[in-house]
Amino acid sequence: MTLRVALLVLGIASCRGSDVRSEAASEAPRPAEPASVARPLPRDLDVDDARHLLARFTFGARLGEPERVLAQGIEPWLEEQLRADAARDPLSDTLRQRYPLAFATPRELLEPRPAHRDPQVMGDPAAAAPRPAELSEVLFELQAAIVTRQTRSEHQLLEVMADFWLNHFNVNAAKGRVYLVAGQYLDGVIRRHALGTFEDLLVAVAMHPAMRMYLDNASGSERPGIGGRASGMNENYARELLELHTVGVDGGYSQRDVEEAARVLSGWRPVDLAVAYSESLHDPGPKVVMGRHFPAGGGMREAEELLRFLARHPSTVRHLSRKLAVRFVSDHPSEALVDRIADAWARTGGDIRSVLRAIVADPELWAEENRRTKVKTSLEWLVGAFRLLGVEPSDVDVRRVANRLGQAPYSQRVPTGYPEVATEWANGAQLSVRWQVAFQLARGHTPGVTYAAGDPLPREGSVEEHVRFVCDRLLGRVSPSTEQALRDHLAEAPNVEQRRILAVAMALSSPEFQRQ
Amino acid sequence: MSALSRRRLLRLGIGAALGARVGPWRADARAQDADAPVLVAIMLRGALDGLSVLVPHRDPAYARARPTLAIPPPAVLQGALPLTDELGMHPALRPLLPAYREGRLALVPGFGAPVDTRSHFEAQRLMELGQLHADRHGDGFLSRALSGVGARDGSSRSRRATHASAHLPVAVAAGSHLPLLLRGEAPVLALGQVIGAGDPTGRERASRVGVLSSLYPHGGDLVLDVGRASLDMLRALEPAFALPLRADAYPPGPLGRSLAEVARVIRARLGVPVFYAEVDGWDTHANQGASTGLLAYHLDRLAASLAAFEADLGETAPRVVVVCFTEFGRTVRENGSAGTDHGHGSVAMVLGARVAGGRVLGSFPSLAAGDLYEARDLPVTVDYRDVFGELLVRHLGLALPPGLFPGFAPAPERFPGLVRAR
Repeated sequence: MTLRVALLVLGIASCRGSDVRSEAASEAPRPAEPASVARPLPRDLDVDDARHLLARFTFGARLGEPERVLAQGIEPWLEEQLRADAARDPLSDTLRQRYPLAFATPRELLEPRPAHRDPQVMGDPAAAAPRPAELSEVLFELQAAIVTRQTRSEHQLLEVMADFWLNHFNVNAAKGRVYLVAGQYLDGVIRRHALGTFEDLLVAVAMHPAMRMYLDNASGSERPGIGGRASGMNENYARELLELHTVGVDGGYSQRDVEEAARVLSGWRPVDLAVAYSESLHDPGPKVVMGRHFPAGGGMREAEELLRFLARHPSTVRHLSRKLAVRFVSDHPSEALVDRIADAWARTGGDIRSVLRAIVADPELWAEENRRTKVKTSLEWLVGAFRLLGVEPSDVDVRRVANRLGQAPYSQRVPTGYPEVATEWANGAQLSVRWQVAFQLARGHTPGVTYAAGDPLPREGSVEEHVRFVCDRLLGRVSPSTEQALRDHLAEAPNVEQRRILAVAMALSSPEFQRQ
Repeated sequence: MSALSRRRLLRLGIGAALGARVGPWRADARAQDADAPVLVAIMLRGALDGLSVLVPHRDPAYARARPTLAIPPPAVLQGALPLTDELGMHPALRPLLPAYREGRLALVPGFGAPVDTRSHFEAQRLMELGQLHADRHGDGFLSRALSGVGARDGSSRSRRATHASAHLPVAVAAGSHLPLLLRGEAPVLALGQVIGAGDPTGRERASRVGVLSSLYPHGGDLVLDVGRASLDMLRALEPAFALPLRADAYPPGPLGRSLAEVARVIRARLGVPVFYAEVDGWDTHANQGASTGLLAYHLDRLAASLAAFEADLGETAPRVVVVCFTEFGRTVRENGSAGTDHGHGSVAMVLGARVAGGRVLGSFPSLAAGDLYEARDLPVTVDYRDVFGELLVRHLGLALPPGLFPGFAPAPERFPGLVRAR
């Protein structure tokens, strides 16, 4: 019974495409009623407030977007964003057509298919023979789909949270066979639960093969456990579960807790691109993890009990609240802010929508000293540039740009995911590459990017008009030196076309555009 | 003025007269850096087959293990180049033979890291981090080693009178990516990230640097500070970009190009102590070839590039040491595809006038099955951390920070003896 039930419960991700059904996870996230914890937003909001909101809760404002959001009202805008349902994104059909490999099931990926798209072997007759998709092709489409969705989706906050969770529950699709399940992990687990409850998300991650396969491959952290390789792998996952996914490195757990958690999780392992449970491999004895007792004979149920226990643990609430505070408010959030977020979290059972409402309503978010004081990650910088310029990221080579910038989606090797804080992204090497990409992009020379050089600068206009456009409409608020720099250098441009290009390049290179 | 006559003038110490003509650098800064040692680290990514570089041609186990891949003994046509009684060098490395004979090249068998992984990416990552286990982000060990470098002693700091040298990077990488080895706090630059790098006239770079400098006119917050520091580093290197790039003197390929770029910066005598380049193509799982073939082709390119590099350096050559290293070696036995698979110990090559060369360091490992690592690979007998420890301490004269290699303290008694005593 056990194995069959287990497969029914989890494994059929491989048959059902992105519509992962798992009894272990909850039903589709229900749109939550506005929680009573919400405080009123600051009154008398202006364009700078809207710009700040968009800087933090989207991948970057598009032209005129701050004004539109202000006109709509920040609270209505937020509620509209929170109503987003990953399963009903109008973009999905477009992306599915353009990047089918990103949405295929493992079974579909393993089947020979007509050689789909492989720039290196175009025109080579042997390559046209049907064959299964290769890792590089799948990764290429996954990354292009991610960047395209981040650039074009109206549901920006959903995609921002998906990015946050993909880093928190990091999986590297560029290694081993993870690529076979990566698309489903992204859509069926991460995006599906991104605005749901943390508990459901945690369980869905645990029960999806992607995380197990990824940690199995990640060497350097793998040490054989007492029971051999399989138990070693569970200890690996148990450690990351505690240290990274839930209670955190200061969460108050010991090595003993890691081992006990591994015993609770025993019996589960990745099998045929699913996660299956086998009673004979499960440790039947009693266990204690961080004070929580699991009496003998708990069987298959124990894993989910452990996960839900950890999800609700105060250390987990604090750990995640801090991460959210860092992501949205400040690299050095006050303890009081973390407390307030943790409060909202605890009172709503980890309902992510409610927590986000609480953060948006928090005065610390709106404080002047927390504006423009974060630094964009590479992906935020790149996608932000695409959104601001009205660029259509095409398929080929978007990932090459992302690789140069050091943040190709879905390719982070270490389980901690891509970092969030300024000190990781503000360094000479990173800035030099951004400057290069800025000038290349402005000229329309970036492969795989459909963009008319110099857009969206007006095609006609004086130097001063172009300076104002960059300062007021593209960047929002600039220092006197940036404004003067624009004035001086745009005036030297030999013609209007060159001036427009230089204006865009300078905007993307400016200190203002690195800040968030 | 032609390059040749300028070189003669420099040798006569009349560099100062030329200063005004070649760039905004100052003669006094250059003069005291004339003796400053330089380390060039070249990472051979992909696991170099050390057993084809250093050939135990007398050992019958060698030919038995490699029926098609074994390099023949020196007496045979295209055989190994004789180094010692027992050991030869791959014939494709012939351009380095003079350096060996003249005592400038040392080979280090058994080179590697005591890690189990046979994944290229993991092994490279661990080696660059300087750790044996690492499942979190980290800094490169070379960046850690250089973090304290501003001056090697108090006296040279006081002589760093020029604005330019105060902003120099402590390491320069050829190519467009900074390797993990150099990631960290130390100010470093990748030449491929130099704005307008492709423009030989320098006009585009000057124009871009001008635009960016006005956007980052001073420090302030982290973004402004970093932007400013980046531009300062570029300006400090500008004298190097004014020198001719002698890429034609090198064999074609990315390594030649990289070394030409590195040589130019060294020739500018700005005082940058560390350089980095990399080359791949060493992962010879199939059709590796023996005296000729795939591996031989890459070895030939490597040797010819290094020889051209030594020549290009001119009179700066004596203070430069080059270390070629790889993440692990390859299996002793050839596989079913006339190639070799991932192994363990490999061979490092260390080249320079200050190297105690003309020899093979340590003893060559036995190929007896019982002596092999996991019954398949050459063992690691020389820890890469001792090799780099010696080069950093005895060649560059650095004091090693305590956390340089977590859990490992490079000890002078374990240094392989690569650097000649002064």
